[in-house]
Amino acid sequence: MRPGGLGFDVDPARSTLMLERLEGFERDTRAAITLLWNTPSAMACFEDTGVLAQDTTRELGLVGPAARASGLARDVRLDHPAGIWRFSHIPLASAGAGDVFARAQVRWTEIQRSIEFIRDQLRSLAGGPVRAAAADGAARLVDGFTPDMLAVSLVESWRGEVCHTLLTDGAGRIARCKVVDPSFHNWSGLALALRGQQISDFPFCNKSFNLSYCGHDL
Amino acid sequence: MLKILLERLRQGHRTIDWPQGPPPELSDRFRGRPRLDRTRCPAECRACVVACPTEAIDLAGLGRIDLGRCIFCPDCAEACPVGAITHEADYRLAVRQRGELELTGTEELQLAAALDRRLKRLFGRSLKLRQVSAGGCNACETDINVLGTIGWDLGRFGIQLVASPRHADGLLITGPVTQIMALALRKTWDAVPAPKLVIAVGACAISGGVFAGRPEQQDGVHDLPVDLYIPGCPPHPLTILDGLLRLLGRLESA
Repeated sequence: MRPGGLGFDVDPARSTLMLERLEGFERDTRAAITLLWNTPSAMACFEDTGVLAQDTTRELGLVGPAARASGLARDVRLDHPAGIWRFSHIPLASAGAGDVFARAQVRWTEIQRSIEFIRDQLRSLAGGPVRAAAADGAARLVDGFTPDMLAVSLVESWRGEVCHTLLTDGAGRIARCKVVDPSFHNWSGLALALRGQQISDFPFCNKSFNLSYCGHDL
Repeated sequence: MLKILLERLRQGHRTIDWPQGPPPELSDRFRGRPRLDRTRCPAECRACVVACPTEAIDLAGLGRIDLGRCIFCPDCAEACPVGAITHEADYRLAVRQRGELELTGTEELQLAAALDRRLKRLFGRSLKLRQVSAGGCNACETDINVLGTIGWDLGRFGIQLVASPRHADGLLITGPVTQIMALALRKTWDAVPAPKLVIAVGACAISGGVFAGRPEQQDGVHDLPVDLYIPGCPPHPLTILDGLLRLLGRLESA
């Protein structure tokens, strides 16, 4: 991935291989998650653990599956549909309880829908170029960038909204780039979900948010 | 319980055979060391230098490519009008000295030598590392994480990532060392009991990578004694594992 598009295209052999691997991945994931749902000791740890109320979630500005598990209808693919999302709509996966179980359930629904989406897309990939032409051959000037431009993009990643903000200089080259990761918004959600919880439930709460250190402003 | 056992049986053993057996097959798009054949360069051509996003190529004399700066993108090879730059398929890239990453087209990489006898005796069979993301983008971190999965099972070598520097034998550093993380990195280093190791993973930790020269960061790890440099953007998990095992003297026969 690079400014202006992708470095490589997917050829038919590769998409066949990806479809095969996706099938194996789906089988393994389904089996593991089914075991999880059918294990009462695990479910006892999930239910009513690390509850985050909908109001708190909204006030903190949480994004992604963590927000949707507390009942917020927030998904960049639906709120700001661009590109493929204008044509392919993935139903919003949400839950209301805001506990570890709700976050796991939203994640599982999204895994299944993502597999379906990837499968559909791989079977009907459009042709055409994958990269905008570099205007000066050095890949630092991208077609479509104008001098002194501010560009903002929102993408729904697997943890939630990723925001890229880009500034170009007087010559149309990238001058500044700032990325805000979903983890930046959601760390405070984890902190609040942990209040009043047992220490032994920390791993469940932590992994139900599954945040990235790199996603914070290091 | 029975269902769990049945699923385990169905999934079977999934850890790679390497280093006892052959390494896992890499993608045909895997790009290892870029090698420059300076003798084929047309006069006055600087296309690769212009294309390189991290100024890793120096055409003076025999021409050098700095693998510590290189992000292993295909831009130089694509820009070259005569195909004088080719990427090799070898995943082995880790070295012990920073200078060993700056190579002319005719020089071979000096793959990382093992620690001295004393350190090898201490760490050879049990190495606990504290990972510090000093402003990394999560690519190097993710490929380190991959080593903990069942496919790689880092634990079988006695290598483990631990949750506190006080439990660690060394640091595994990623990222260009941002100003915000510099003090935290120093404190983490101070908290590791001696003797201790430092391993720099990825172009950022080695040279600042694509952020080199920016005031928000320090161009990688400079004020700590680095024992192992693992280049890449990010390095393949196999490259990281190969470097770690070489450092511990566990691949000497290979």
